[in-house]
Amino acid sequence: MTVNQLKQFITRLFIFKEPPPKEDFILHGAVGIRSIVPQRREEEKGKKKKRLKKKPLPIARASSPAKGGAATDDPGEADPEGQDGQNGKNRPDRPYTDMLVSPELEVNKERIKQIYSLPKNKDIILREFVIQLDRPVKAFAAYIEGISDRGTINENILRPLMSVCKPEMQSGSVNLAEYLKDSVIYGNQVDLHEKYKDIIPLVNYGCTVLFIDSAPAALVVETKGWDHRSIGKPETEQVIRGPHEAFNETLRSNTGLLRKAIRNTDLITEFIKIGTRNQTDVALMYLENVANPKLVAEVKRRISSISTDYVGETGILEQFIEDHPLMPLPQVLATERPDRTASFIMDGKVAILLDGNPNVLIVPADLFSLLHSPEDYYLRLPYGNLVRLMRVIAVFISLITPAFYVSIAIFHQEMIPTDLILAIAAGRETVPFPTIVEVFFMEFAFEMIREAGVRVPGVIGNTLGIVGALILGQAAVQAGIVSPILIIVVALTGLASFAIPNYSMSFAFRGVRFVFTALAAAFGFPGITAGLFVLLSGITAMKSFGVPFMVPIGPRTRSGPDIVMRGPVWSMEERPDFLDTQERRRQPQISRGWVKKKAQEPNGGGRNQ
Amino acid sequence: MEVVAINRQDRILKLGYSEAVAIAMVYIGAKVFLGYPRFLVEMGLNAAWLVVIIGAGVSMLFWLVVVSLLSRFPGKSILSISMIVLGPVLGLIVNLTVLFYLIASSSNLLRLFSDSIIITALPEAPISSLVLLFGVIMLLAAYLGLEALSRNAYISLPFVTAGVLAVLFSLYPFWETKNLLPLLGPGPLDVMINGFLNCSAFGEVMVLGILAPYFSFDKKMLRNIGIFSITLVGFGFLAITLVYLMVLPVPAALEHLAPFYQLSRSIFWGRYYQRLESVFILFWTYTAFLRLSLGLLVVALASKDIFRLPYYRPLLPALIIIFYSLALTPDNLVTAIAIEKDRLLYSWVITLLLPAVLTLIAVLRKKEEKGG
Amino acid sequence: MVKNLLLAIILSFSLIFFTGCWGSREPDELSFVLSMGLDKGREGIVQVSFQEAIPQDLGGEGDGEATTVIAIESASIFGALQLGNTFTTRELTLIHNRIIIISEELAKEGLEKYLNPLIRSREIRRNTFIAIARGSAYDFLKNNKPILEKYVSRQFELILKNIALDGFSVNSTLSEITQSIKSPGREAAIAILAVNKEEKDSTAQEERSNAEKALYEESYLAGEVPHQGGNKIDIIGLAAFRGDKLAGFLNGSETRYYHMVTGKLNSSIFTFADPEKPEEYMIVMKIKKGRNPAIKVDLSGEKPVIQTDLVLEGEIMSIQSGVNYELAEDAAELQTYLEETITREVTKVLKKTQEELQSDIVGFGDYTRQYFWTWQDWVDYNWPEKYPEAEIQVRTQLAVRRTGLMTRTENENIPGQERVR
Repeated sequence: MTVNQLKQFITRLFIFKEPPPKEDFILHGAVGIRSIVPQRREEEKGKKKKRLKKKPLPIARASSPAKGGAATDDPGEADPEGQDGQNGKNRPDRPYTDMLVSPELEVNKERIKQIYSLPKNKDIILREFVIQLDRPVKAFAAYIEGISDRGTINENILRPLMSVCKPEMQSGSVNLAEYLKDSVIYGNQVDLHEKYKDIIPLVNYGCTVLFIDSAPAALVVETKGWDHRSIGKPETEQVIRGPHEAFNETLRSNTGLLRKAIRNTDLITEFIKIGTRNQTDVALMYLENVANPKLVAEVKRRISSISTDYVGETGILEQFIEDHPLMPLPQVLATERPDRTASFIMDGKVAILLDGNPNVLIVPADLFSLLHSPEDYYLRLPYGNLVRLMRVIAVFISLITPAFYVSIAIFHQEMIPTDLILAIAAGRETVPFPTIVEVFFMEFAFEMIREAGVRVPGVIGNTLGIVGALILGQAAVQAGIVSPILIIVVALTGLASFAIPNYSMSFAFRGVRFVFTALAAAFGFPGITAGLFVLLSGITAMKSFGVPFMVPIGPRTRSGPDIVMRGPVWSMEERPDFLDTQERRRQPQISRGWVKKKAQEPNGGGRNQ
Repeated sequence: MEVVAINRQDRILKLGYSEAVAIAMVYIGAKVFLGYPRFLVEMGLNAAWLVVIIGAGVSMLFWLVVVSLLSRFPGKSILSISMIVLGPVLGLIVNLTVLFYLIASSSNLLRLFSDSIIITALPEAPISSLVLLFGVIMLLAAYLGLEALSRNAYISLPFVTAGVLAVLFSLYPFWETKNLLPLLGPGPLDVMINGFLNCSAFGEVMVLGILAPYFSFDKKMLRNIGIFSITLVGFGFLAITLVYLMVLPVPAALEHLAPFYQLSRSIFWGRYYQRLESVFILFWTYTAFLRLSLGLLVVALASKDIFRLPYYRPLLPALIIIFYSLALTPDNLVTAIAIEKDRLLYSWVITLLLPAVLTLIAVLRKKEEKGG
Repeated sequence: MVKNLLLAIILSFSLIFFTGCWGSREPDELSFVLSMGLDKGREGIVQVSFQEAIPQDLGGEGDGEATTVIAIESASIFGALQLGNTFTTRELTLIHNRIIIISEELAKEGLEKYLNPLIRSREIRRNTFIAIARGSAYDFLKNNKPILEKYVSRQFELILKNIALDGFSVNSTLSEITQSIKSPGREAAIAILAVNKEEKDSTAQEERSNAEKALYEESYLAGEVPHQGGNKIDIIGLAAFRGDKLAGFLNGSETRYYHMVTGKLNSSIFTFADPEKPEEYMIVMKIKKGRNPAIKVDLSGEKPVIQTDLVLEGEIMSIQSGVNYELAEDAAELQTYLEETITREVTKVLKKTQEELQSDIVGFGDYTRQYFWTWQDWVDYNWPEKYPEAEIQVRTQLAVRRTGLMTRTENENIPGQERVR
């Protein structure tokens, strides 16, 4: 029986299955179109080598800025309601989908009770009262305790309604609700809705709904207000120079932070709801006349196609929309810094904000932007590059140092100085394990300390940490379980892995290094090479939202001086080519006005209206 | 919601010229890490560098002829063209010969690279284990496709070049220009004949002809790319051969199994840094992985082309088994080296002469295809 | 598909790991040989000595010996290595072997058969030093107790570097030697070393006049240097080879003149008799290489003519007589005197290589390559045969550049003081 299974398994290995038809998205511009650059520049820089682009694929692209405004009229574009309707199709658990607000107050009350399972559900408050018009009109307000602001409800809804006394308005008139909205209620956002399916999500989000006797529509007053963390400092992406603001858990304040940074009418915030039962808000933010409309459409398509109960964290959303879920490297950039997000949006990328989440997703991501830190740009050119250089070295150290140690210790003893190999040999005299076991043991211990350091309750957390690791290492050496040089190797590797600015990226490299170590133990340096080769092949085969992951060097596209090292800020004239933005230029060729002669006009595109 | 593209075959991909150059350079150049410099010295003694130059020149002429053939049939690979020009039966026979050559050459390289690693780095490892390692890696890489491999080649080529240059310049204290004299080595006639035969070494540029449908540029660019890659690789061969002759002069130069490895062994940077050959193993094994994966992929793509298949990936497991068994067929390393030597002497008949004859036939039979 | 691929990867990797790590050797399972000696054993057999390192912590103070020497008789080097494993707990390995010492006796029979396996092995470094021991290599290893260094590998690394810079010996590596032996254009020159005999002074030295004593103060072969204390070994002089067979020795002072021609003499201190009072006073000069020597070999005549131009620089270290050689006219006088002396001595050394050794250790043969078009012509010319008959012309150009911290000597008792301006 097992033999049969084995046989089946082996045949399955060698049998090719036709790949299922899949929608294949390529962001044109990354592999497509020759960029439309001001012709002048080409001529001016005649000596600049002409680069061949991939053959243009026959696609229609809104290339001129004039057309850019119309870009959002793409078929992929959809308003939140539309999305909602689409998602809400065939969902049996929404009894109110087709219901309309009834003119009879009691009916409405029953419906609300039914929808919110009153009186079982204690969060929903029904407040019945009488509006003092020429004759008293019965009404009730419904809101959810905890996410709506009591003060606003008291001051802006109940007080005006219960104290109006304007006899000129005829009660029972059709326009009663209209009248109340226009002249009585102080609320800053008040809407009239007739359909329950419009009302309920708003109530779920902290609004107060007001049903009035004999009115065929309900008033929805914005009364959101819940306890939230105020804007704090970034926890994972700290900088010394630069703003110390971080996103918090409130979607609206996050969008506000971004809008505060980008004061431009073109900054679009679109809302999509995801989650069947939950309807979490997702906000997409991009610059309308810069971002590639196809990219925006693709992001919307991916997000709106998700059908699941609940997406509570950007980490989950990320897993729903990424291209290669099995690859070790992240394909979406998550950040908690508004300044960083703003600069990506200005580049033409799309930011995805999820309600209740301090992390913002940026798509598309490429390898190099994942390895950059915002501080690289804030520091002056020499310092920024020094930091970058150290980080490049750190990446390699965190990837291959243990592997290097293993292969030198057990395969290539000849390549290190005689004194050192003798010291290593002496250090290993008392160690009762082979080198590879020793290395795995120490690396694993280090990872455990790291993980425990995150999970440990704050009170006792201070005692744990790198110091603890070193003490553990010291004790291990004295007990003769590991050799002293290994401690240095492990400490160096761990340190280097923390120098990688992106959390997911650092995870990726830490994980991959175990594979490398294993390969090194089996084949020495050729094993490490094999690992590097497969890793690089895997990375070059990856795409993030239609953009190859290793762009701009694999495939080679035009790029500014900001790949591994960066050039001066005034030389970063163009937005990344692979995004194929509607406007290429960030700044004219001479962006520092004071270095040019007076008569010269700034050329190149004015950046924004 | 529009469906962007629905596959009923492998996605058509288009490579840029940087990637094409990288592919050609890796495909031609990888053998320099094996016995190729020694083979050059066998052909030209201390004038081996002349042999390189003549070989590169001759192969460039051939390449010009081949490009004229390719430009008659835009978007077609040289294999499809041979079917058109020679007709289905003769064309198939010719193509099968080419395919056999491709398989044999790459699998022999697989054997040689595995053996080199055993000799240089892992003296105790059995050959099958390394062939297996190479096999798994090749399978994975070829599965990921031409796009990934070409980009990989393009990204890693500067590093490999830097590694090679580091070896060559680290040996600067040992450069002895007198070792290049007498100028003509074995005599002018020998140098000319051997130089011509050496065009086989560059004949692998024909990989560009096989991969022609995957390129996004026009044929004029293809011509330039061929010449450019031959020139660059030629310079690489030239530099390595010159340094090899200067550092390990002629009578000794005929002996070494892996000249580049010997060169890296000779590096002496003072007493702290010596025996760095293990570090340089990283560079040349990387090239080996690239070259062999490309070899497998090219064979798969060529078979796809010849048999007009929609996918190449199903062929990979079968091909890798063929590679594995062919690689282990030679009894010993000496046989494998002898096979490689024969390949370096006579493969130009298949890689260069055959396409040239095809061109002639195409011109005579006035076969041509316009448009894409 | 992805699942299958993943399984395939896991399967193949587990295949790799469960079958073990091929060829891996833990560093504490190895015994690192730091130096190796080759002696003649019984008929057809060599005695191979290995100096093994005893691993000691870098930080820890190693009490006791850092190395131990074993000697094994066997037919071949690697056979001896195998036999060594029968009584050594750890596997002997040559990957950190720094020097191979070959006894004089073996060298006379020919090196080729011993060097060939060394070149073939991947364990032996190409830049391993080779040295010829006067006497037994085993004795040398036994008696070699570096005082400042813990391990002999560092000792040889440092001492050979210094000696090569001073010109007392050659920094002969395996790769250079095999190439010299194989090349028709030059012969091998190998450093010689020996256990010091602890004699006060050689008899040869005593017979010399004072002037000659000064000039030949370094004319010792290894083992004869009169020194007391320190490590009881010497590395001085070189062994010249004809083909792969030992032809003879050059002593320390000859080796320095030889290095003037090869251009490897960096800077070295020479003593000359004072030209004015040769028996009483001497002049100590630091002589540096000014430029690489220009060597030309002319094959047009019946005999090859070798023209050597040496360009040297001097720095005065000591003038015992107090004569102001620093001053213009006297400086010229001194310069001519030194140039003549050096020319004479260099010619003497080259004559010795021609007549006594018949071995072109300088490599003049390589300078004849340019006169031939093809390799075969050059080999057929048979330079090694022609060399002993060649005519050698040496020209020396020496400039006294610096005079130390003094510009002149003020001394009332010295004649010539009146010249002082």
